[in-house]
Amino acid sequence: MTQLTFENVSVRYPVPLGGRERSIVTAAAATASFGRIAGDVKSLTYVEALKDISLDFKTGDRIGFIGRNGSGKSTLLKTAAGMLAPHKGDLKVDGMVTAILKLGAGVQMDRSARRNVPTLARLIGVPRSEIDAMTADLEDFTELGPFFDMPVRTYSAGMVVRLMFGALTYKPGEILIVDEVIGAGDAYFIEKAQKRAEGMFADASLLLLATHSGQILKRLCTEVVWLEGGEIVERGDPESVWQSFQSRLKSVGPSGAIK
Amino acid sequence: MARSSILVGFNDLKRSIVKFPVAAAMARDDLVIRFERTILGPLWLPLSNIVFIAGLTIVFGTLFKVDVATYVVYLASGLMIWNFVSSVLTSSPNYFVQSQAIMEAYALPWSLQIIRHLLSQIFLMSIHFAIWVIIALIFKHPFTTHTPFALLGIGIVFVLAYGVALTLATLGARYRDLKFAIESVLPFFFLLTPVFWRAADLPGERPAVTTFNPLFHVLSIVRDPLLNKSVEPLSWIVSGALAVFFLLVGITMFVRGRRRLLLWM
Repeated sequence: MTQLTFENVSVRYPVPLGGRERSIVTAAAATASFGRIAGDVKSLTYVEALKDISLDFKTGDRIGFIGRNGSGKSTLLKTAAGMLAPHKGDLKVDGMVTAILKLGAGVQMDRSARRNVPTLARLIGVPRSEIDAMTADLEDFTELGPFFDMPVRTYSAGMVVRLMFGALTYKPGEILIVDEVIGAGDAYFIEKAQKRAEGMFADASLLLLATHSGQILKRLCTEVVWLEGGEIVERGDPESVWQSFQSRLKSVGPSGAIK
Repeated sequence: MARSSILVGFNDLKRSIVKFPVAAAMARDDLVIRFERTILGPLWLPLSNIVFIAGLTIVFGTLFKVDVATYVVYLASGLMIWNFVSSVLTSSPNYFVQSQAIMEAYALPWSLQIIRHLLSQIFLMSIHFAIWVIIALIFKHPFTTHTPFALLGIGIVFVLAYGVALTLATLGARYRDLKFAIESVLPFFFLLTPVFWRAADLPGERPAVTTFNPLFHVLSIVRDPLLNKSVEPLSWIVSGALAVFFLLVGITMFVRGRRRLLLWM
């Protein structure tokens, strides 16, 4: 049983305002002088990116996260992926996690997609014996055509997304976490991604997806969580939450107060 | 601190051992890419090393009127270890910082990055070792029963390097001037440590510069066997103690600091 639970989770980022907070020399001076010199570097400014979030997901859930820039979507996904630790609260993860948060890491830009397959296979833990199968699968899924044998640096953003999404979902874990990245793909690709995602759900899994696209949301998700300022504004079915999000955006403008 | 995050840290270290082949492949790729578009490839590195050895041998051979064969074998062995130690010290604060993209993108243990970068350094040292062997053969330096002890020495140096790298990489993610602080004091230690000069040439019984300089002991446990000398017990003790100490410090730092690692980058 795949499960993911947030219990009153808060995540905060330290914000070093200048070089002093990141200096080991200042830190050493402050410690050695018992704070009399540069004692202020010991008290840091923090930004609370998630505030007291409680959520519970289980097998078969496909959750979309929406919200304006800086609302906490990426932080929530990174926390779920185990990259950021909550500073308060508890996180329970039951299942293997595949996170697609940033694309292109580990890919050798001067090499073709084909030559990158062994590298990618290693990074995602596919055994060497499966490299041929993975290459065939990727060639088919990405539909890069002649570009499959050209250096990755010649690819468009959408093509990189196709390659990386294809590679990362070749053998996905039970929990798939996807940040806005797939937005760079065209409508046709989104359809393929959807088919792939649906195939994955046959093996009972859980999808967390952040997006700015109502279309992607309605196609891929069964439920939507709307975040604002690190808190949950609304949670419900994609259609209605997306509608209220849109109408609220229209009434307050891009930077007005939502709540 | 939550017990679970400590467990996550230990688990990360444990998984990094299982995933060792991945680190080795990544290190190999790093080296291939670094030299892919050069004619000499990785041979550029020994070349600069050979030039440095030749230069110092010419200067000191003339200045101190030392026997060239003895001096060049001494210098090449010392430089091999010094280069390894100093590049680990100056590069390790960036090990996590420079691997952030990979750490965020794949479900690999983060401490695997330490092994990856150390393996690159070990490969470069093996080139320097090959140069030493060639020099030793050219100048008819004998290999004796002392020589195998260099392997034990190098093993201790690797354990020490891992502990130090784990410590500095974790600290380096938080404190960005750590690398510069280390870089600024290293030349001082290079001059202070008998690498290109010999402790035996100093006046007096036992110079403090050797007794109280940990780098001297670390150098000695590899260099002395190569030069067919038996290593002083003090050097074994100091180096072994340093390795255990930094291994413990490194593991503690990483296990405690892992949860905040990405927040700082």
